[in-house]
Amino acid sequence: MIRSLDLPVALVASVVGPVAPLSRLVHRTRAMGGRLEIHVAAPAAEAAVAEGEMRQVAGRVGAWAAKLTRHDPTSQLMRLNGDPRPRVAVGPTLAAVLRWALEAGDLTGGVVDVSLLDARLGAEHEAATLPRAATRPVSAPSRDDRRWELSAGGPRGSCVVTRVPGLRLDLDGVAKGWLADRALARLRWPGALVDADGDIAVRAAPGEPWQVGIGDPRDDDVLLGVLTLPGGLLGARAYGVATSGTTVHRWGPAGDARHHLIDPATGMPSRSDVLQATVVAGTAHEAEAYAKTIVILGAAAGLDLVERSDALGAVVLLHNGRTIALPRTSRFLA
Amino acid sequence: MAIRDNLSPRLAADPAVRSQAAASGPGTPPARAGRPGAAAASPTGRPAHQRPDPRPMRLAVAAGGVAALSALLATISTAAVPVNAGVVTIQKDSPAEVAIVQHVTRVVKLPPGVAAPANAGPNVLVTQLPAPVAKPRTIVVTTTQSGRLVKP
Repeated sequence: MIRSLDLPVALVASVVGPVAPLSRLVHRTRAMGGRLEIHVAAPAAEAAVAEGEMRQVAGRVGAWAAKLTRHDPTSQLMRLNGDPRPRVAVGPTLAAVLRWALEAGDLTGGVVDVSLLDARLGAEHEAATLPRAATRPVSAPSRDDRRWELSAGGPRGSCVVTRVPGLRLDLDGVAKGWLADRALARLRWPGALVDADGDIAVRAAPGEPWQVGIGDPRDDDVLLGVLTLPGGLLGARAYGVATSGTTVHRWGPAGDARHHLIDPATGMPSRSDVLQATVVAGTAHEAEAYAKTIVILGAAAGLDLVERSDALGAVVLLHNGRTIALPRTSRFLA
Repeated sequence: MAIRDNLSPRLAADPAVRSQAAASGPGTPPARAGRPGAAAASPTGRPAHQRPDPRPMRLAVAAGGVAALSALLATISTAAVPVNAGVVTIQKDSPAEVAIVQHVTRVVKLPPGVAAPANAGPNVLVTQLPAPVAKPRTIVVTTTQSGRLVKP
């Protein structure tokens, strides 16, 4: 009699999810110049296997990040930026992130723009070296001078970047979410979470929700809110959570500080009413792009764009201290 | 009055046939002599099989046809005009449904030399969040701006 129940129970377990309680494991390290945390909800009996897998994935994230960073002159990105030729073949990892960068530009109406490295460095340099009275607008290259494209046709099936010679690209605004999603895809456990320095990719198993706090940039001891991300009824569900803002990467004197989020319309650091934006989406790389868009465009236009997208929610802290959210976010807020 | 004008004299004389013909009423086709199942006395004298009265079946078939036609017309009319056309239904007991954001597109004609008001632009319904909350112990991770240190 008991054996006759084995098959139905196995079928239900395969559909609904694991019956055995899951243990939560964590692996913490540093990558991309920031923190990298990998969390897994795995059966207790497979804890050792899960820990080995987390270490392996962390190593892969470090290897991918090393190709994409602009802080290492030997990275693939910096070799592309330093190449004087108009057409340069790039490796598959860099090509994949550049492809996403183009897509992010389309999703956000051009607000996410990876061709603004010189404007960003210019803002940083001016704020650091010039006295306040002498600051002047940074002259960013025009849109025509910042045009670039990615195409197939490189040697051995690689992709080719075609751009104005001298144009330098910056993946700081699009790579972390992409890395978090790619790392999550390598974790085979029913529940998993990858925190790539604040940009988070989540897979929630049925009955195993993840809770993600929204940091308050004004006070480390409090949270703006807590997001509860549940699994699906019949299977795991994926999320991405990302936060962008202007309070961490700032330079210059108080009252006239510059930050790293460049408005492509002006070539200057954005001067919107948003101090910080957090977006919940289906993936971390989409959430990252939309969060950045809200900060640059401001609450009204940014939230309007995000509301029309597939994003699942947004929480925004304004300069005046108000915290607002898209109503659809309420299903995640505890 | 004759029971049936077209009954043969032999059948008309048969009491069984006469009683059946009388029960069947006007308009009923007469049974034909010699046909199997006809209401005629068998040579052995046993009562012959009687044909069932077709009128109930005809009524049933006609009623079924009317019902089918009505259903067909109802289906066609329903498909042509959606029941909820032009009606937006919002379930107020479902937070996900209540969270429909209303877009208000405001068009303002500005005379030359007049700037748009500061609050002009697309409007999105937003929710005011309560005050910041103390960090609960169950929090696994915290989303922050990149580069920001997080207290464990």
